[in-house]
Amino acid sequence: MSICSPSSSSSSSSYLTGKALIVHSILAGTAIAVAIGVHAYLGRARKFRTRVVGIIPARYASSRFEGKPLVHILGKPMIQRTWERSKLATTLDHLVVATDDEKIAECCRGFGADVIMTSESCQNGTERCYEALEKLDKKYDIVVNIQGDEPLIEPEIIDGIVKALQAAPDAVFSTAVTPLKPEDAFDPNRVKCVVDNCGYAIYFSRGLIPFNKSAKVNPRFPYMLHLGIQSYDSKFLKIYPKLQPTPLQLEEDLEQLKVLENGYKMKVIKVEHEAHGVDTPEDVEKIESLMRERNLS
Amino acid sequence: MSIFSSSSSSSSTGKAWIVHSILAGTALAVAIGARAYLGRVRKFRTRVVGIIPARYASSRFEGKPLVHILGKPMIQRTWERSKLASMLDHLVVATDDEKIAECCRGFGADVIMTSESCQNGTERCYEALEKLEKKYDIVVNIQGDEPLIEPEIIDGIVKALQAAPDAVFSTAVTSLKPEDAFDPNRVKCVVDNRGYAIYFSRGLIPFNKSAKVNPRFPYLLHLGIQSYDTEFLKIYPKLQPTPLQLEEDLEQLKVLENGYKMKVIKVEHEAHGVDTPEDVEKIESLMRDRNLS
Repeated sequence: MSICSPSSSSSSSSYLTGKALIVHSILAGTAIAVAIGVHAYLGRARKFRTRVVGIIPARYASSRFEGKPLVHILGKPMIQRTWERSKLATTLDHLVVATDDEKIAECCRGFGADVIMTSESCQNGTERCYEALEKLDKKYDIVVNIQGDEPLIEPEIIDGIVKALQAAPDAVFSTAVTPLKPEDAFDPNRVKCVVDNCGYAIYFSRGLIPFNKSAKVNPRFPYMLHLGIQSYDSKFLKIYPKLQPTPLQLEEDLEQLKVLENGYKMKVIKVEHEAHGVDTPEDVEKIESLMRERNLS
Repeated sequence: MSIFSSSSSSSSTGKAWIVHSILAGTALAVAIGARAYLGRVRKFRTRVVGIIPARYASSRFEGKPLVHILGKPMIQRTWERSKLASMLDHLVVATDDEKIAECCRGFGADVIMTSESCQNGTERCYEALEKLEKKYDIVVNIQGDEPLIEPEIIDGIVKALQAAPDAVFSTAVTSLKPEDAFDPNRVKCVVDNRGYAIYFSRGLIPFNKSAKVNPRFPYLLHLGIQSYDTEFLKIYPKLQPTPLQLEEDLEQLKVLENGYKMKVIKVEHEAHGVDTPEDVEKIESLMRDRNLS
């Protein structure tokens, strides 16, 4: 009796405990697996791409305008103007000038800019950004490629494209567009852009897009002009310059098409910005008189 | 003693049970997850229906589907060629007119009556789909006014959609003739490096700096044939028109503007659409030249 009852009670209690243990352990195991899955999923949706560097590629050589970054605009080197405006962007953790020339480097250090020396063989600003990124000590999640020849760049545009890329984990690239002037519709030097209803780029073209049946400009359609500023997810920047040129990119001579042709997604923000790129010595005079008119110094 | 040994053995058995059960639970959860994931990449979108929308009214050419081409109604020619496609489980004509319906039943086609108010072929396909008894995964919208449609093109776009679970729409392009480069009635297409559509335009794309046609570039002309995932077709006609669609007057842009993916196959096909009575003569002489009956 006494043997029976303790053994039966111990065996029944251990039996019950055993069954309960099985059930609890299966639940625990499932819960662990689910928790791991949820964490992996949510980990992506967490605030991310937080470390941002702005890079201003500035090369000396140019067929049209040698030493362009150093040209004075109302008494100040153009590269300094671009740098000072970029410094006002709130989303940049760091700002550097990436150049291949000691004169430019010296000038930049003179007004307090950090400088990264890069090779003369860089084919374009993107490659130069990539080279500079590799040479930086710290790690960054987003690289903003700021054109050195847009001295009136608004800091808000830099912040805008950074935030757009931070808010779109599925995009690897972001850029900006502004309203196209009707007189520029058929100018192949003005790049047009079309986007989808969530702000992802569909296509860029030197031809007028969207086109209509009449083959004329529609004065009521809000065409968009692509601006040169762009930001990249740094992991994407590491492979982007190495991707083979693609057919549409080569035919249109538009590097950004390589992104779309390779199936990557690009975010586009709309801004109100009059593009004032300085490509030729004549552009310097134009921009100086514009600045005088608007009382900019 | 016996109690101790039984309790220690039961505690060690208990521990073993805990471990095994945790493993079993984890394995169960992983298996469920894997099945859900793999379930998607299994062979799918297997049930395919071809629909030939055919309406009677037309500003340019009333009763067009019934026009005779070398003695046979155009709709019959389209139907007979479509019947040769191996990927279609079923083929129907969707019309709004009893004369067309009677003609089609006459040569053995299944007919679904649809309303006159359908705005376009896509809406008519959608209405016909709803009226079909069976369920389908893919709907092929076959233009009734391309009587020389090649069955291989139908098969090609179906297979493309079956192989691309992330796409909801597939269509075909062919080589653009240079003389059509600046014709806004010829729709151009650009695709990415895996055959997904990037954009369609009445303007020349890709454009180049010279603003002229590049005789060496393989421009693409969009053909009217399209196939849809049926889940997508159910919402597609209800989506609001989008800005690029309206400006270009190209319905397929609504797909891209809403962020959906579209597969494009390249074929060698001379488009011979019949839009006007003059086109009938053109196609008849072409067929005589090529000994087609």
